[in-house]
Amino acid sequence: MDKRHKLIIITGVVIGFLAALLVKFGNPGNMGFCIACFIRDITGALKLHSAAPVQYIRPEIIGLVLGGIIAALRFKEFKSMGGAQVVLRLLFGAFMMIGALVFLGCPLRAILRLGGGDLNAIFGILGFAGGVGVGTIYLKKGYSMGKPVHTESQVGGVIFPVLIFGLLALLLIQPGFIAFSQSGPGAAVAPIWLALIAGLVVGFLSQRSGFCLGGGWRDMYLGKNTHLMQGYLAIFASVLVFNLIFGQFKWGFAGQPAAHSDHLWSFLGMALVGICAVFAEGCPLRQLIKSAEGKMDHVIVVIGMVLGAALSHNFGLASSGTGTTSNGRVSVVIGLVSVIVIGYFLTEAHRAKSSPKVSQGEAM
Amino acid sequence: MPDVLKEYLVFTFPSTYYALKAEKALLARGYDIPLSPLPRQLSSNCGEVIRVEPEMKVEIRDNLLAANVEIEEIHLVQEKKKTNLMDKFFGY
Repeated sequence: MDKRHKLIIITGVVIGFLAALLVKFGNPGNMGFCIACFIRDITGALKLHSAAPVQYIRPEIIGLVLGGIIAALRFKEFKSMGGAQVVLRLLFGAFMMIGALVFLGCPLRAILRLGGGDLNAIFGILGFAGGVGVGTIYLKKGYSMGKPVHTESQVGGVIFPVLIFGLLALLLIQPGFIAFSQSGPGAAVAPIWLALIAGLVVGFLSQRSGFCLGGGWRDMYLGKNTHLMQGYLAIFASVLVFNLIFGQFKWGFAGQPAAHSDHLWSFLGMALVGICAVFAEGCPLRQLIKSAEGKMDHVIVVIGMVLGAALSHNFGLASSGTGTTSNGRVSVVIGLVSVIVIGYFLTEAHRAKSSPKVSQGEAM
Repeated sequence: MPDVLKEYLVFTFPSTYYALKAEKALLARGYDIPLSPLPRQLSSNCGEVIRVEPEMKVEIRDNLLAANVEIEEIHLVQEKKKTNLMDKFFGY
């Protein structure tokens, strides 16, 4: 087994272990890590939405980004670059979050939910796999976001790390203008030091291994390359084992933590996440890691996710344990139609731009 | 260069579409060269590339151009010996 494979499997095993450990130490059930939920919590803490049960500056996100930054700097991979379809990336980020909050979890949490025995997650995972499949068909037909360019100065890429340090300061100081949940999922938290360290370790390993849940399915579809999928399976095996050891495993559909049994909309919500993950070049976790590497286009996707979280909770799109909402279902349909249409135009534009040119007057 | 373990050429493309087209075009011309992941030495991004021995540069380039495959760049990648523990575990 070569080093790349070892690293991806180690990353998966470590994520699974730390996710189970974070739940053991206070995080909500099957939510040791959830990039969508945690960005949603941070959005609430900054009062960009007012859903009182989901407001907290999650140290895991801060740790993830800092771990990614440390790895990128150590291995000279921090490069400020951007400029490829930034407005569309904002939109994909927002739809990615809306889809995830209809399902109640990002692709990472979908695996963690299944590893905790939540069978509802199967529909989300199938939807995500299907969405990535649709996105991959576009890739094969010519979809492209274009190429980002290196910026003359590194300052643009440094902004995101600075914002993350700002969040860390707010978490530690806890000024009055920041909202922290007193009950609900936002109040179920592991100790700050543990969450930070867990995030740091996962961020470092994810940056080094190139871990991406969307990329796993995409590579399978494109060339039967199972490299990233091995990490996917390692997470599942690891979190399953450690949930059993910690007594956190609960098999079935009913009564699962932060989950519902609206399976069609779990499937469609995560299908939306899957398409957006291909179009925006990375699952939510990978978006954070690429942002940590100075890639400003991915920072825009993360900002889009913040926007999506604010919209989801301000306008009743997000699901709850009792099920999906009509606003959420409508927004998933709007999202699916929008990304499919946008994908079509980007695909056609790339193919038209790259077709062999026929000079004027020449016979076709 | 004693630190260089091996070196190879990497053809990069503007999109996955062209990478797949390159693989297909080369196969039709008798070269069974599966796509490889973009080497970490070039970028931490995802992507598919064609990887060949350095001496094949001209023939592969000409075959791709003849098949109307847009090539983004051709890179010479060197895999170097890792000297410290951190690089051995986590470096590429």
